[in-house]
Amino acid sequence: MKRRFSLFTYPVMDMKAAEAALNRRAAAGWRLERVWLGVLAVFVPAHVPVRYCLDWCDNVKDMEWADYLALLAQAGWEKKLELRYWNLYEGPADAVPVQTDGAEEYRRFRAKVLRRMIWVAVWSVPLCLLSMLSVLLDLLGGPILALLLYASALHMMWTALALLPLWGLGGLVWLGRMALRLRQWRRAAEEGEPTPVPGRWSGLAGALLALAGWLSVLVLLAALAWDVIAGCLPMATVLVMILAGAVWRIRAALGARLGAGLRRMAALAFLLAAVSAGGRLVFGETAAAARLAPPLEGGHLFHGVTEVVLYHRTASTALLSCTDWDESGPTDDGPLRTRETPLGTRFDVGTRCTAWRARWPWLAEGTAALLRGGLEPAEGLDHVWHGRAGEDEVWLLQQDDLILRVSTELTLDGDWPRRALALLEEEDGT
Amino acid sequence: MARKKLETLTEQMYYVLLALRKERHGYAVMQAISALTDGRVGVGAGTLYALLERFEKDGLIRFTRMEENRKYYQITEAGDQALQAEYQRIRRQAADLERVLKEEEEA
Repeated sequence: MKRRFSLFTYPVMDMKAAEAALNRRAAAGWRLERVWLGVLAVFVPAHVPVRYCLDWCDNVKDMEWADYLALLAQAGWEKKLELRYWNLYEGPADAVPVQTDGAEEYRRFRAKVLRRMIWVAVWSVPLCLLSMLSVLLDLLGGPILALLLYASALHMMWTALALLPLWGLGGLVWLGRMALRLRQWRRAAEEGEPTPVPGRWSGLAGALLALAGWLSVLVLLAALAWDVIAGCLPMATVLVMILAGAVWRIRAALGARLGAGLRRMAALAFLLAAVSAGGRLVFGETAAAARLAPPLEGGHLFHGVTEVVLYHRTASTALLSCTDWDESGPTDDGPLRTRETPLGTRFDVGTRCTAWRARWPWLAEGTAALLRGGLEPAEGLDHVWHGRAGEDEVWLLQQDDLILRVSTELTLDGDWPRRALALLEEEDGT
Repeated sequence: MARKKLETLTEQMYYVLLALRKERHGYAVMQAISALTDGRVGVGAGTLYALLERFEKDGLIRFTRMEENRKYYQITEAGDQALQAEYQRIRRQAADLERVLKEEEEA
């Protein structure tokens, strides 16, 4: 049997574009067979002319759902599919559309869209602002350092860090598109005009944007699975995935009408658990071997200046690894200085050192660029940056795919960066 | 658009109330409106369902019985008053137009 395929990832605000796309196919003699994984609409030749209507999937109370479907069936509309936001109805080509009151349609559209606009605005606006601030004003030194430490421990965190600016930007585009549609629907309702239908290319742009969003989530989930396979996350994570899948499956079973999305999420969680567990059993050793060796492991950078290395820890992924340690200088009252805080006694550490190894030099360059905020190139030294953060001096050194960041309250001799670069060069060669 | 619909009925509301001067179930209301207007006005099933729910809540119609899985409704006295008020409003609008046209002809 001949088939036709169309991308069907229309975002919530492009309800009319999705409906128009289905009806264009229907007018050309095609009937929707199914929507594959909520992504691809599959059409087969129609033996009788049909048309399609989309209606919100939660527009009547659960108890009245059977009545609603019965009335639609009497009017010729048969529920064909349950999509993420909408129910899809198929009817004869000459059937009166399911919704014919523009003002009522606008009222419900506004209720659905405003709620999502607020949600998207809550995360996309801060993300964009933070991205801009980090680039323009160099205000995010501390958080960036913490994010890079996490990104050195988990592939998933590295992926999220890479995707954050894109998500922020995508969220703003999404927000703008929602606001535009809201304005168009309101104007049509006020003037008693039919609800506006976006053009074919505009609809396609929305579908592609939504597809990119979903693909980014899949990439993040793949990174999560890889974390389990490579041993960055414990096998217990698989149990959490199975548990999440079971909870979604139970919720889907309890909510008969709104269960399709939850069933898909449950299936995805089970699949992720199976891939993670299976992958670890089969490729676990190979994946673990692909993790980068942490740089300057067991490092004590300032021999003779500092005496003790504290809080030494390492983390590694296949893309980035790091070693983070503190060094404490000699004092009159013993090697370790302590101070009392409301939460108890803490070590007062003089120097914090963090070294990263990146898979490729360009990745090291990108990582160093994130860390360079507020620092100036050091005079007479290539690939060395220097600045102050509060009372501490901050140094950043890069040697090919290695980066070293030192934050210290000690006064260091002027030759130490050259010695550190030599150390990095030596480390790079091993 | 927060229109107070019961002050001014939309065309679809008007015909739904008109169709319910006789006891009918939902689909029969749709058929009656189509027949009454020679197919000019079509009320979608989704729209009709929302209107029936709203009218019943506002006391303009009442649920009368259930037969063969179909809910029957009929207009109430309050609904009839709303219908009559809308009729008078439309008549006044028509009379105003006629008067203006007549004045233009005489001028």
